[in-house]
Amino acid sequence: MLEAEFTRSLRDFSMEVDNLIVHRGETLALIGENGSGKSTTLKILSGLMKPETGKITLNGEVMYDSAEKIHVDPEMRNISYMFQSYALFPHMTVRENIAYGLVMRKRPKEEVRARTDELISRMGLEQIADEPVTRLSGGQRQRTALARSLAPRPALLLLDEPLAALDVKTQESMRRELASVIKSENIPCILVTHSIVDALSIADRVSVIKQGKIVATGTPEEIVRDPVYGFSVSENPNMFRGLVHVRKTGAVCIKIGVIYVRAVTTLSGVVNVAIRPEELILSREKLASSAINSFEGKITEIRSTGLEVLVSVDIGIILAATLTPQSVERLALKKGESVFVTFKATAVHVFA
Amino acid sequence: MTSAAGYHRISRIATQVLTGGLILLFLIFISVPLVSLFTRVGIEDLLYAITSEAAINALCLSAVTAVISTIIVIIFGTPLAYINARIPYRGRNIVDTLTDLPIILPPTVAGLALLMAFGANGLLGQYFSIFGIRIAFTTTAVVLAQIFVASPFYLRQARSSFEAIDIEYEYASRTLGAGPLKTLFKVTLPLAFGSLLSGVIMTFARALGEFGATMMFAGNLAGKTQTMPLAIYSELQSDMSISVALAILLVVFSFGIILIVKYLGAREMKKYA
Repeated sequence: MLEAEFTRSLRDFSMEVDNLIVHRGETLALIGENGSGKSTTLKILSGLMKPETGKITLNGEVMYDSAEKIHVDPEMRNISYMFQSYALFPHMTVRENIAYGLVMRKRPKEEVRARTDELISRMGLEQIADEPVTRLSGGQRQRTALARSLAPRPALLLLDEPLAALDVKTQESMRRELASVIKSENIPCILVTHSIVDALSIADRVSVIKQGKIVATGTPEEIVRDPVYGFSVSENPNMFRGLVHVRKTGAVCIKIGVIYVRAVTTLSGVVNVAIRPEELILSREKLASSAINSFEGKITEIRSTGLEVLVSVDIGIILAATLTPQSVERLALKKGESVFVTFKATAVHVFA
Repeated sequence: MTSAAGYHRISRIATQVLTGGLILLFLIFISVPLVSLFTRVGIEDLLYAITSEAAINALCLSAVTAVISTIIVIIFGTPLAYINARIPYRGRNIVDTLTDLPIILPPTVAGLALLMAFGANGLLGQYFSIFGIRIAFTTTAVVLAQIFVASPFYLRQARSSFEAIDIEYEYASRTLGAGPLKTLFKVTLPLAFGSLLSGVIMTFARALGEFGATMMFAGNLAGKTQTMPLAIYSELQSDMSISVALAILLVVFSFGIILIVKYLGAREMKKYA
């Protein structure tokens, strides 16, 4: 368990974190905008940066205490830090990178070998284990970096924007993989991200950081619902209340007004539903795709917000979709016309 | 063809001729003196000259002193270069300027300064004298002169080598359980190696070519302080062919060094691109 409180003045503002707690086996997402102090928090926890006052303990051991003048060096903390750039050592192979933490801790050769092999096969890196890391794809780099961080079985794992360096397509699959690896290794973890989607799909709890202060902490659902810090969701026009129906096939539907929307949830009864406008696809023809929710409706409003255009469609309920001006032009969308709205079941965020 | 297009064509040709002419003249200016060295002596004369006692003495002395001064520069310069690259302390610019100074200082000024410091009555030399230690006009003085003039080449290159290495590699190494020293030897130095090596080679080459400061501070004593450049100067008065032979050796060696440095630089760029 990690307990941290610290202060540190930065150029633009002061870090004042007074209640950062990560329980055993828990994943905490630290979410905030660029320059809000997320990465600084990780640097302070890992010992790469010294706070000015405060106390940090990890599983009861003091890592930092300004009153006692204790500052444990990063190499003695057993806290792994996965950098946004991954910082894989370019002069080493995949295997050498993964083994580095074990070799530096002078673990016996057989243990180094066994643990490295285990992670290589767990991450599906067998084919490229002896390749230099400079020849890897984005996804392979991410897996190697994660394996390297996990290898010494750290007491705490820090992930700085683990998906940001990947292209959008790889992000999707890596997000799921990351969540499953973190869970199976059962290592407490702090995940820094500016993406609410990462936080929702990976974290057990979410803390919102703003100007160096943690301003809200809760379950992902609570944070999404938070009127002040609910991020894009709070400005989301597509917020509804609905009733969960479980069909005989096991598929979950939510009745919202007069329509049924397919979703993925374990909740039952009356729920809140949020569908992000950027996850809606508009088309002239009915789409044959994996996205299961598809409705026909009439455009009720087309409103430009500068870079994006918000198109509202009445499909029994009014759904707003964000499109680029180019897409609106290409589809020649006009008020009163008929269009299809399509979205995936996983795009339907359900919370109590 | 319109007159405007014609004018354009003529001016383009004129520009090309002018540029080509300037480049050609410059290349001729650089290469003719070098080539004329080679035309001056035949291969037999060259072999004879190189195997002469004066040449061998100068060659050995140059090689030994330049190696020693390069090693000393590496030992003292690497920590300074690393700290200057990583830690923005107060007065870093002043330290940087100070260590760069020998590059633009005329070597004779450097030699004079060293003499004022380490000469028998010098600022420090007077205390050495008490213990009967003489520095000026000894082989030690040759090494000191070489360190003084050649160290900036290593310091500058080493600093930029370290600056080019993303500090996150070092951070990653630290969080993976390696202390600062282990991180230096396992991550920073291997990554900087090629770039540091070209700094080492440049430093060695500059030490090898040192003339002015050595002349002022160490003198021109055959077998003791007479390095290759000094021997070239001295032999000019007695045996011209030895002088030319030594000069050829230095030219060939320097040419090789620049090629190696360029190759290392290119390889480094490719390796981590």
